[in-house]
Parts: sequence; structure tokens; C-alpha cells
Amino acid sequence: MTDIAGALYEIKHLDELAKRDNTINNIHPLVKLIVTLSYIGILASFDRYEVSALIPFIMYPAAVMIICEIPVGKIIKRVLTLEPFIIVAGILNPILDKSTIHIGNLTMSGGWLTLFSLIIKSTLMVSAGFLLIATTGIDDIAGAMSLVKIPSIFVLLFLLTYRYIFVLMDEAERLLKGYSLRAPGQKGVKMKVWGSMIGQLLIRSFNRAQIIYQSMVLKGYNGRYNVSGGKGFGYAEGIYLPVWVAFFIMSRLINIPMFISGFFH
Amino acid sequence: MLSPTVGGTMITAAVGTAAVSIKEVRDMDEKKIPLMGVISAFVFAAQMINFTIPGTGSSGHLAGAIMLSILLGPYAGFLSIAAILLIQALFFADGGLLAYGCNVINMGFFACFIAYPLIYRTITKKGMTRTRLMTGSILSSVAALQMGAFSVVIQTLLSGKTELPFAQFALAMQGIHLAIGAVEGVVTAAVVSFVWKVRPDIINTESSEKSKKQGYKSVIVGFLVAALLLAGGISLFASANPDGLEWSIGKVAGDKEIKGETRVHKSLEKAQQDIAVLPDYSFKKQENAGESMGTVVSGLVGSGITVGLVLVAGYLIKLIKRKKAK
Repeated sequence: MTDIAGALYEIKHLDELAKRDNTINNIHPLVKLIVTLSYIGILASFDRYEVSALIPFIMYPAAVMIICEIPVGKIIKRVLTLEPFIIVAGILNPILDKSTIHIGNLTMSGGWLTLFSLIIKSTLMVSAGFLLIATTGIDDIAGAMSLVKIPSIFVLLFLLTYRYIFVLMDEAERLLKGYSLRAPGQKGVKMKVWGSMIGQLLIRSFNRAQIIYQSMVLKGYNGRYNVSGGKGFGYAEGIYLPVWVAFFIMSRLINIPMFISGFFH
Repeated sequence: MLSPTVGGTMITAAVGTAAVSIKEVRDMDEKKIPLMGVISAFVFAAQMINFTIPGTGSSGHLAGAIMLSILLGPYAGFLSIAAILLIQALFFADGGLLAYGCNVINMGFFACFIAYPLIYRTITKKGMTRTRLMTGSILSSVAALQMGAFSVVIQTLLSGKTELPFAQFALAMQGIHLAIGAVEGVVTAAVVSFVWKVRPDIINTESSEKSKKQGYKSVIVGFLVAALLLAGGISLFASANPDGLEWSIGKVAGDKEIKGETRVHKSLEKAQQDIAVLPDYSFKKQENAGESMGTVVSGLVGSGITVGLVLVAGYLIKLIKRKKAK
């Protein structure tokens, strides 16, 4: 059965990492959002046969992890849980892509190259996504979202969903624990109780929502969610954004590993 | 697995649909926003519960878009699914950020704006009964998942990152999602009919929602525009996707594939041509067959050195940090 408590802990942990005080955590969330998106976009634009030119892109996640002292094992563990999906998507490439790549008199299988390329790209993109959360945190991301004029209804919905997830997963865990204690050794929930179990959770959630809404109104909720201003644009932002974006663009245009090896000829 | 063209187009489509939904939801009671949050979180939590699929050893879980539409109505349901998927993309990297638009369209759009109004609502229009609720939920879930699965197939193929042949891939996806859709439908039906029995006031019925034909129309128009954009993307691919044989290792690859895609890419391309000394440099190397082995070796050596540089840079950052700490 799914480990709900474990999943909750994992979510919370990433968010907690962002609350620490360090150079990157203090950078304006919008800047980090732009850097992450351009990183992902530029990686995605590479040709599917490209392998060597992708390697310099390791720089970004590596630097962020070191500066923010994010436990590498944690990120690797999370990326590894997704790796099977990526491999499944590309595993047929070596079989289906029979094309061969000639480099002089050396022949390589195009399929294997695409698989490698896919794995490297996805791994880097996924880590960049995790690092955004681990350095920014949900509140700041919501703040950046409202800065780029995403309607407040959606931002509020996003934040409230995040908040309530903890309340409801707690509730769901209690339900499941009760179920598994009375029906030990089962892989999942039996069909007979699907409706009543989830339905029960829904009704509990609904009641919870009304109580939460009433207490929010009592505390002065008026349909808006006020995000704290906090971080402004300063020197750090002025350096962080152009340096990374320039690095990404340079790595996209120049195959750095091949460029370096050029010195040895 | 996705190319930026397809990913970007789908994000545009998702944002467009969300914008229409927000417009529809805006004049709704502000009271409903916390409710939407709770229900979204509920679906998120419900996705965590595994169900034993009868007759097989495996288990599955909910996607929940049809359930959200039934509980909140299609617009709020679509926004909720978008919020859920955003949290999943950020925290579990389910699909990743690039695939976010695709996920929203595949799991949200078809369920909320096609399957829900055309199937579920048509069946339950004549009044709620247990049988109608059940058939409506099951049929619309199956239909929504079939459309979503087919859309995944198309998006993957348009992206051209995997080699899966269309027919087999489509067949496998539709087959698997027929089973998943059936399970989803049965769970949705079970939950909805339970809630309907216990708390009928929660279910979003016809009377609580005014007829909003105009709204649906604008959503569909928005989607058509997105489809046209996508079609533009396809033709780009069809003409420009290079044969694998044309590939060469020393070239700064990918320039053909993204030709004329965005302004950024265009200027990147221009910049690339301006500094074309480098690609030329490695090109010449390859033409010389005698040195080919050397090219491969130098590629490996270069990659190794790059990794080494990253490590050194990391070590330096650490060193500076430690010094600062003292």
C-alpha cells in the first residue's frame, strides 16, 4: 500500500529546504523560475542524437546543490524513482531505430544514442524542477505566479490545494490504517468498499472545508490571498539571471566537450 | 520525450482553457474557492490510495477529472485538475514542467469539456438515479481516458523523440487505458453514488449551474486555435525532421528541427551561424576518415574534462563557502 506518511514527509521536506538562509534561496523567486524554465527549454531543444553537448548542463544542478547544501542523495533518490518511466519510454529506441551513425569508419547505433540522450536530458530536467522547489518554496512560487499576472483565483487555488493536501492525506492515512489493520496483508482496497471509503473521505473533507472556511472568514478572509512582498531585485538577481542564461545559451551553441578536446590536437 | 514545440503549444492551449475557466468561475461565490481547494486536495489524496483491480493481481489509482467535474462543475473542475497537476509536477516531477500543458489537456480538457458535458450530463439530464449516475460516470471516464491516451500518442509522435511506431503504440495505449478508464469509471461511480446517497447536496446538479453554452463555445474555439497552431508545428516537423544518417557528432545539432520556431530560436540560430567557425572546425575532422577514431576519443576525453571542470567548480564553490563561514 502506498506510504502516505512517507509521501507527505517528502513534500514537506522539499519545502522546508527552501526556508533556509542561503544565497540562492534569497534570490527573487521570479528569477529562479525564469532560470529553471530556460534551462528546461534549452535542454529540450537539443537534437535527439545529442549526447556530449548535454554534459556541461550538469553544471547548473551541481552548483545549486552545492551552494544550497541540498543533500545530493535526496535528489538522486527522487530522480531514480522516475527513471524507470523514462527508460520504458526510450527502451525500444535501440530496437526500432536501426539507423547507424557513421563517424569516419566507426559505426554506432542511432537507437542507443537516442536512449542515452533521453535519459540524460530527462534526468537533468527533473533535477532542475526539484531544485526549483527546494530553493524557492511553495509560497514564493505562488508569489512569482501572481507577479507574472497569473489570475489570483488560480494562485489561491494552487496554494489552498497545497495546504489542504496535508490535512487530507492525514485523513486518508487514518482511513487506510484502519482498513489495513482490519484487513491485513492486502495489496489494495477491495472493490466492495471503494465507494464508501473514498466517499467517506470526501464527506469528511467537505465538512472540513466548511469549518476551515468559517475560521478563515473569522480571521478576516475576503477572497484574496496576500503574498508577502519580501524579496526585491538587487545585485544578486542582476548577476544570477544573466550568468546562468548566458551559460545555457553558450552550452547550446558550442559543444563544450568537443571544443575542449580540440585543444589537444 | 516532448519537443519544445509540442510542449509549448500544449501549455498555450492549457493556459487558454484555464483563462476561459477562470472567467467562468470568477463570478462564482468566493466561498467556493476554499471548497475547490479542499476537493482538489481530496483528489490528490485519493490518488494515493491503490485499488485492487478484480481478476488481476495489479492495482491502480484515480485520475479524478470526471469526479472533479461532477463535484464542482467543469470549469472549477478543470482549474482544480490544473492545480493538482502543477503540484505534482513540482513535487514529484510527474511528467515534468515541460509536459505540464500536455498533462492538463490530456487529463483535464477531455474529461471536463468533452466527456463530462456530452456523456455524463446527457445521461443524467433526465434526473438523477443510481443507474444513470453509474452509467454516466463509467462511460464518461472511459471516454475521457481514451481521448487522453490518444492525445498522448499524438503528442509523443509529433515530438519525434521516441521511435515507437504509430499503430502499435496507439493500440497499446488505447488498450491499457480502456482498462484504466473502466477502473476509474467504477471508482468514480461508486464514490459519486455513495455521496449522492448520503449527502445529495454536494453533487453538482443541473439546477445549481446555469446553462453556459457560450462558455463551452469559447473553450472549444480556443482549443481549435491551439489545434491550428499545433498543425503548423507538425508541418514544420514533417519537412524538417532530419534523417538519422545526416547526423554527425561534431555538429551543433538540432538546428534543423527547430527552424523558425520562435524568435529566441531564430536569434540563437543566427548567433550560431555567426560563430560557425567551431562547427566547421569539427566537420573537417570527420571528413578525414583516418582521424575518425581520434574524433570519438576526443569526444570522450572532452566530456571527461567537462565533468572534471564541473567537479572543480563545485569544489571551489564549497571552498569559498567554507571560507565565508569562518
